Amino acid sequence: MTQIVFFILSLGTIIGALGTILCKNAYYSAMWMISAFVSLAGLFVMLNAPFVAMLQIIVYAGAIAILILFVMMLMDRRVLNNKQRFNPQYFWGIILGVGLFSDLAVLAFKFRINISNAGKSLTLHGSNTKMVGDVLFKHYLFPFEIIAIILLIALIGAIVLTKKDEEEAR
Amino acid sequence: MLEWLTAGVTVFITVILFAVILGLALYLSPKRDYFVKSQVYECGIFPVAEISNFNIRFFIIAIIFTLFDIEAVFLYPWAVDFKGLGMLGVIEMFLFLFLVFVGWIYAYKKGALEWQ
Repeated sequence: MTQIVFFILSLGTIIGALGTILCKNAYYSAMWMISAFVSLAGLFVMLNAPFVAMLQIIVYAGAIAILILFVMMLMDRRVLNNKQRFNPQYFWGIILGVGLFSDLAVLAFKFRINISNAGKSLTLHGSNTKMVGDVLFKHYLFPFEIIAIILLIALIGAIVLTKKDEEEAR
Repeated sequence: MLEWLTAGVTVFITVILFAVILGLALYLSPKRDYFVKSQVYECGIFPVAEISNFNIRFFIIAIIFTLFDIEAVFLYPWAVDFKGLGMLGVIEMFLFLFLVFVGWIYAYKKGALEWQ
């Protein structure tokens, strides 16, 4: 049963990822990317990490994908609809991808990493959300507050960059 | 694992339902495609040029949404472990929220959310 679910989810992730890079239309690519993110969230659930799965749905499929779609809407449609599937540097992309994949595969094979139980030791009743909260708010208190400052800087930076444009145009 | 069965069944039914609805729509709908249909609607006037006149304000709002989304994500582990963290957790979280709220006030004062 678990294996069947795993194969369905990993097939969904792989098809979504392939669709992302193989679609000529950038909008379709974004939709495929969302489907890959959702399948990946299912895989995280299978690894006993529902908090990461929820993060994947809310932040990646929710916010990041919306941001990418907004960028596409801001761009010129003619730029997006060029009929080239890959840009000329795809050779280096293939080399990097194959290298990274073989690296991970060798690591997993050599050290016999069994990730199917990786999350289980860190869970309470099949959920690691409480553990994450415990670690985040007790041990990593200071880095957590740093996150707030980073978010603040990002927010101010975004507003400064976009508002400046408008004032010059006026 | 079994407690996720409900979620799995829901996702499965949703996917099937949407596939059936969209497939039926694709199968039943008449497809008479002509040039004007794919054009930008410009009050019935023939469009002058291909423009992407998408307001930059949408993007500011999207960025603000993303940042506050990431902020909200941190509320989940805090809320789940609320009793275990006690008063310190409350103080921490309110400091966090205050720091991000400063950004919100800045955005508000700067008029990034206004739609003039």
